[in-house]
Amino acid sequence: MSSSASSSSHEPKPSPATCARPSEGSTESARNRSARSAGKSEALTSGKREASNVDWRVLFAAADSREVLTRLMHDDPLALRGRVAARLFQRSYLLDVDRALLRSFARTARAADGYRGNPPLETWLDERIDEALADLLTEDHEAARVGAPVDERQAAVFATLGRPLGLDPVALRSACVAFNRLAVGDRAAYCALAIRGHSLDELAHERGETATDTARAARRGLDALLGPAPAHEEPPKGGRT
Amino acid sequence: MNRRELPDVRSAPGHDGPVPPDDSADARAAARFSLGLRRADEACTDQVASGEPWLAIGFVRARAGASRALDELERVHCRELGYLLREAARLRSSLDPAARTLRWLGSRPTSVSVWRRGFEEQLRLLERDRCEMSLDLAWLLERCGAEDVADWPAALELADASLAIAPDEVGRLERVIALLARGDTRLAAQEAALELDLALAPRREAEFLAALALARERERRFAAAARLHAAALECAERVDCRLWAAAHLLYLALVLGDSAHAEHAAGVLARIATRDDFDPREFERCARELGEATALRRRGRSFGVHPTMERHYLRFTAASTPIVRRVAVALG
Repeated sequence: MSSSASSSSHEPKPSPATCARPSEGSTESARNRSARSAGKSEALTSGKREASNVDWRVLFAAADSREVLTRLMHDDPLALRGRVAARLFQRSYLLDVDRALLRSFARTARAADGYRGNPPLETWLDERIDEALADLLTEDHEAARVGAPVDERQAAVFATLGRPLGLDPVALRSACVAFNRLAVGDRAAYCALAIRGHSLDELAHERGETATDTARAARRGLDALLGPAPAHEEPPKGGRT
Repeated sequence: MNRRELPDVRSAPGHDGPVPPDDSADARAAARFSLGLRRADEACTDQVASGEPWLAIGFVRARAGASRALDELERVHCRELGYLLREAARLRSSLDPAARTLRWLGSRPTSVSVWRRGFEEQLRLLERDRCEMSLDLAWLLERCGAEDVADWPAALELADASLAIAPDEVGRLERVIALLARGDTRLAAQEAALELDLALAPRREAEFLAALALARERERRFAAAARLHAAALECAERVDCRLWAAAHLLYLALVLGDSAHAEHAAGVLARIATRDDFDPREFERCARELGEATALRRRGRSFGVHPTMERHYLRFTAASTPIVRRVAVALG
């Protein structure tokens, strides 16, 4: 998942969206955290620099999309992995980064034949990644809608993320579908607080809103993951939600 | 009003809850329309696997990776073709007078020339990537190549093909629109209600709520239709969807003598009329169609002299903004 470890035969580099859970009573200062975020942002954009050095004419000159796909999958010459991870981080989606990468390879390979250098390669690649993410979000929604079984590889990914939430893979897939349909602000607030371990005050300051509003946004993220609360359930006590 | 507060108006009369999807129909459509990439001969793997074990393991792993990548490429082709078929359904339904009045439920279709370019490009890529398709799909695509859009397959068939290849809620909305246009109100209502049981993006939710409201209107369940239009208004994002939902709500509220809904709808219409991107022609079309609908209704019952409606009508024409007044005049 973008916000969890990715399971794959080809071990991914540490996902930029992979963040530790917050430790209780964390004393890390906002400054240190900002520095860490800056370093992370640098890592996220590093893929963009590499992509522009590639001669796309050579890479995309092929008999068919399969050939381009094979080239893209071999050593990732367009540095799509970093770009995909950055996009997932930016949009705060809960998606398997490896799956998103593979779909981005396929989207890029299919569209490669029609690319003539406009828009710039970086922009064009981001468009392909956005298409890939839209595909996956739709397909996940459809799979959850018909209750399709989770395949073996996805089950391993969902099991990792679902354990702390007490959700089995199928339930977690539905939860992720509901989460990914939230407004980006709600997703971002949840990911920042619950996954990346930002403090509420710091995040509210960054977002330019009150801590209560930020907490509410994060709560909507949590609610989406845990499903609608039963009507008789009392709202949780304590906290700033 | 939240859609979750509308269980009574969502279910069909005589049904306790939403009708489950017709899986057999889905399976039939999926069997008719299928698309896939031609794969390498499986025997090749068996030969390698029976030789050197290490080589075999490496080969099988590489092959598994390649196979997964081809699965993804196949899905990309399916999604692209599914999108084009969905757009074709929109274009086709734009020609049908019965469906044209429902077009506001979904997004506007792309132009035919843009669609043709995309379609030809997609066909070229399918051939280049050695994709195989079912005979029914090939026949459908061939008919889509016709110069005159009127010669294309029916919108419902195009929507079904799109859903078989790449199912999504936009495709299902097109199917509901096609069903409504065909007069299959009951099935349209069932399918729209089923969609509303799931988490939908607000925009889609409004579209399905409005589609269900139209179905209820046709079933003459006016109170239910008014509540659904009011719910659609709450989450509609597109201006034309808001405009039509508000106009229908105003119309139904006047029929029912429901002053709260009538005032709400009139307020929304007045706000839309002050927007920068407001298109008065759309408003005129809307007012004309509602006027025609009202005339039809009058023949069936004494709608025009309904005392509550008369009172509200007079009040609105006296107090509302010119644009709302025009709608009210059309209704009168």
